[in-house]
Amino acid sequence: MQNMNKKNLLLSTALVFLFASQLINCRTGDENFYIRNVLPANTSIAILIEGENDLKNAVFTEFMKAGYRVKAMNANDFYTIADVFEIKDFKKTNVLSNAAKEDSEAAAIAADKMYDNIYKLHLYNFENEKADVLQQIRLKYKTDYILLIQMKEWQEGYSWARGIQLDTMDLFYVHNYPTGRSDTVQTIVGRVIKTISTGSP
Amino acid sequence: MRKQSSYFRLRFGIWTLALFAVPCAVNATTIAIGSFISSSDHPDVKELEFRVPIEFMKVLTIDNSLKVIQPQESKTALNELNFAESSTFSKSQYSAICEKLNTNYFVHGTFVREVNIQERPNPYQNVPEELRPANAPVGPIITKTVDLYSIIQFYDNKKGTVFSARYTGENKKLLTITIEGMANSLLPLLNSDKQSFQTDFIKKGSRLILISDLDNAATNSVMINMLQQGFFIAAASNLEFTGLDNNEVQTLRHIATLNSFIDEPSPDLDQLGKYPLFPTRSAILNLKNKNRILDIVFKNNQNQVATLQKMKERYQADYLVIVSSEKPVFVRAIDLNSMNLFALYESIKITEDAESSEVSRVLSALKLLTEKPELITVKDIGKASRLPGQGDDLAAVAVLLFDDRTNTANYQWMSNSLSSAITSSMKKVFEFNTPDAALLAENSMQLIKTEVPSPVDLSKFKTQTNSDFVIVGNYRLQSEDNQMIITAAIYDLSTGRIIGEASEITSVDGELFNAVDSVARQIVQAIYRMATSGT
Repeated sequence: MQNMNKKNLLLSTALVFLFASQLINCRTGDENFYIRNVLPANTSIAILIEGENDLKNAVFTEFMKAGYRVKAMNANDFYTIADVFEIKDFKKTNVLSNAAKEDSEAAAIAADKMYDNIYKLHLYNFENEKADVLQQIRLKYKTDYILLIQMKEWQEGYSWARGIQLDTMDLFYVHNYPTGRSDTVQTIVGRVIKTISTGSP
Repeated sequence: MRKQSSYFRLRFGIWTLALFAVPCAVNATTIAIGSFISSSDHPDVKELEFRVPIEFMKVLTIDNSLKVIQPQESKTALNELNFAESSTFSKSQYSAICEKLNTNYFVHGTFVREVNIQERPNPYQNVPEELRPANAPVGPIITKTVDLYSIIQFYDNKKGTVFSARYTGENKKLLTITIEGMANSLLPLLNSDKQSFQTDFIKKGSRLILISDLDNAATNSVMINMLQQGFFIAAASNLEFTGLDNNEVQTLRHIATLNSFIDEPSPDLDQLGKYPLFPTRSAILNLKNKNRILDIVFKNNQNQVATLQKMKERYQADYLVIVSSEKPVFVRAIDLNSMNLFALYESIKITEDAESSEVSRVLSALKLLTEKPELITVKDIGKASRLPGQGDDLAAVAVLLFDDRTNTANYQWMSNSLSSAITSSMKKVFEFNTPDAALLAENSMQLIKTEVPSPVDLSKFKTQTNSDFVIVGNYRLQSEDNQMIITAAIYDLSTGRIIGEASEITSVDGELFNAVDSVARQIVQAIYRMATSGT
């Protein structure tokens, strides 16, 4: 049972890091967004954001000020994604040495085939596990919405946000925002809040 | 006046078209048609062995730029290489075949008919006999189901990959399904510009999972575009912190679904070369008796399908789309409801301009998937067998009434039935003219009554009826065992030579009807052999 909880904790933590992750090679461009349904104030939302605690606090504060019930799901993270949920680690998987002992050539071919398949399956299963974790978050935090906000690169001119509706597993909100010189954490988060609460930035 | 020899005038769609296609195919893509073998002797499946290559050649000859190597030539190459006809080959065998035939592509196939008998205990077995209802079954409940399907293997020698597609259908429909399926999947794959097949499209309002190698910003742009168009995006993939890079997405190029499979063929191990691509009941049972390597490879395919099914359950998604934004842009699209691969693009041609970006490349790919594809129909295939300018210059084939030599009045019906069955079978496969019925009735008696027609009789018949070929036959009863013997032969009237013969010995019961069909098939096979061997 304890192991199970640990595993869940790891997966949840992994997901937090997973979503609120760094943006490499991000590109600037025009602001564009899509929102299917707005979230009125008082809605429970889980917010995932990567960054230092002061950044997180600033973001959470803005949402709380706007009247949203913010679930504290990534307020305290100790693990890194690379420790627990890194796809690339599976490239090093070595479980095949005993796959086929009939003869060495056969073993090598079987190993190749099996290795390819394991990696491929892992890519697919990764999505399946992620779905399970999202449902755990939904039940554990009693929220139907998760908001992902990427602000790590905001000072370099780029931020983005995504919203997931957990009961349907749909993406209901996507927002690319090229940050300007005058933008601050507050103005960027304010833009996200305005978009999800009114339907336009 | 007839200008061509009778063989040329016998306008079997493929044979004639293949001849015309060759001169146009100086720098053409070459494809070799191999054997389509049946794992069953059942007539429904056996018939497909010779009909499918013919129909498939018709499909291929739609495109005049293709050079088509006929099954007979492929068979000769296999013999020279000492390869037995098989449902699949290893990678080195495929390469050797392609080199021998000097072809880029080699296509062959298998037909499988599986009879599955399931036995369940009788629900009344513990009920006293006097209490059972009148219509209660006696003994165990036996249910019999028949699975009939064809598997087409398409080897691309340049890429070293084999694309397999499985088509399932009921008896007679399978031919149509197989041919249309092959037309829609293989023909576009032969076109070097498209390298694609697409049999369905993503409907608006459906939910998709998109796996790509785009970075987060680009992913957002693509998703916004799709959402704005009215599609739903499942909250899977591209939400993780580094996402997948192109190398990782490349690993998803090779996939297994319920109807299709694309991978490199196995290396030279015999066992691996024959691993079953699709999970059939008998394949699963057979695996229990084979080595574990087979088991591993086979189960890999099953695992992929099972994992994708889980993905469908988790996200309630309708489609999984895998797309690479880096060139060459490839696409795989799976309908998660049917678990079928419905679109495959090996390399999407993207117009190069200043605006071309990874986002526009992926959106171009998605645009293809959301547009209804133009499918090739059987009707189109039928048209392909017609050559402009040939007019009525078809071969005239006379199918005479079979001579009743049973000395009873009981089997007179067979005389007309046999000739009708042959005519009907031929019409399914070939285009030909039928000589004037009155001329036939007037001039055929000599041939019908003769055991072996003389060249003089044949020549005379040709002149009288203006026919190119004649099919004659008879049937008689063996008094000792009451078996019926049916024989038939087809003659080329221009040379007086016999082209092929058919014979069948059958009991005088329900089997008689099968025998009639069998004779018809044998005759058509003989014509097909003649057509494809070019003799």
